[in-house]
Amino acid sequence: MILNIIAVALLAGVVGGALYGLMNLALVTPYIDRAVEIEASRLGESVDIAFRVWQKQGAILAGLIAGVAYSSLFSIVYAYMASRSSSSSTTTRTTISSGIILALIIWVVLYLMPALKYPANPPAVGDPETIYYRQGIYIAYMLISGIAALALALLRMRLVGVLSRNIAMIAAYAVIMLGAYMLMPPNPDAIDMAEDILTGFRVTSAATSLALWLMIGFMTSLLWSRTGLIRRRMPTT
Amino acid sequence: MHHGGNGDGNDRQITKVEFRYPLLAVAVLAAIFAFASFALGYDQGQLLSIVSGEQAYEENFLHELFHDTRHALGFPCH
Repeated sequence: MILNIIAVALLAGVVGGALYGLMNLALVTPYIDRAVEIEASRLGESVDIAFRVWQKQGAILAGLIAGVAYSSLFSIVYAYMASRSSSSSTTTRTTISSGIILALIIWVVLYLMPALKYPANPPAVGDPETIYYRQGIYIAYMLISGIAALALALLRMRLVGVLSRNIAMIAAYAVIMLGAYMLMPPNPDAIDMAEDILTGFRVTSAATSLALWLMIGFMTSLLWSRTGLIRRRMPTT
Repeated sequence: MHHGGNGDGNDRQITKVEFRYPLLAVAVLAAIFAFASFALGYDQGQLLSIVSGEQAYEENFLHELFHDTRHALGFPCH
């Protein structure tokens, strides 16, 4: 049982992560390459091609690690959801749709919300001097969003009325995030990059990270359904 | 199609489900998540400095190896 849950999380993470790495190479890397060229020309240097090839190979490994990391987090939440669900409708279809909806919510909470305040940037934009500060405010923003969503989701289970509690929860989350958006300090760095590279990079970054979460959600719930993890929690009379 | 339970009539009477939150599995997954996301999203030489000391901060091996993906995931980078 415990090993099944871990194995499912790892499998979904490895498969989703490998696809994510390939998607990044196809969609995001071209913008990174252009930004790296701009960075090098500003410094009056030429791009170290061999180094870039090595970094691109790293993108597959990093994709796998991202997949495993995010899939682990997903399974932690998904297992909790499954343990608290009192619904007896556990067809493969409802199991998978709940997995995909959860994945979408996590992407909004952990990618989209921080990105609205601190958009993803290609290389050549960040100032190395401010890296720890920028990492600090970024993770703080992620934590605010994640903890707010988690606390509201736990609170939701104590309320009655499906529609009203969903509306109340989304409204409360929106208020918290609006407050965080206004109170948190801005990115200290000046963004000096061609507009089309910046936009293309941000759109593809959002798209591949959404795809990663959806692939994890789909595969985890499919595997839970197929390996009997979902059925095993059903009452045996 | 999977049917939940054995008898349709009996299912409705039971509201509690037999699935406890698997705390041990969750602890293992949380450790994997914490370690992997630190290496991927935040490390600036810290992890490898355990074996190679100060030099790790200058080489910044993991940062450079995960560089493109760190950007793509939306994490701040140099």
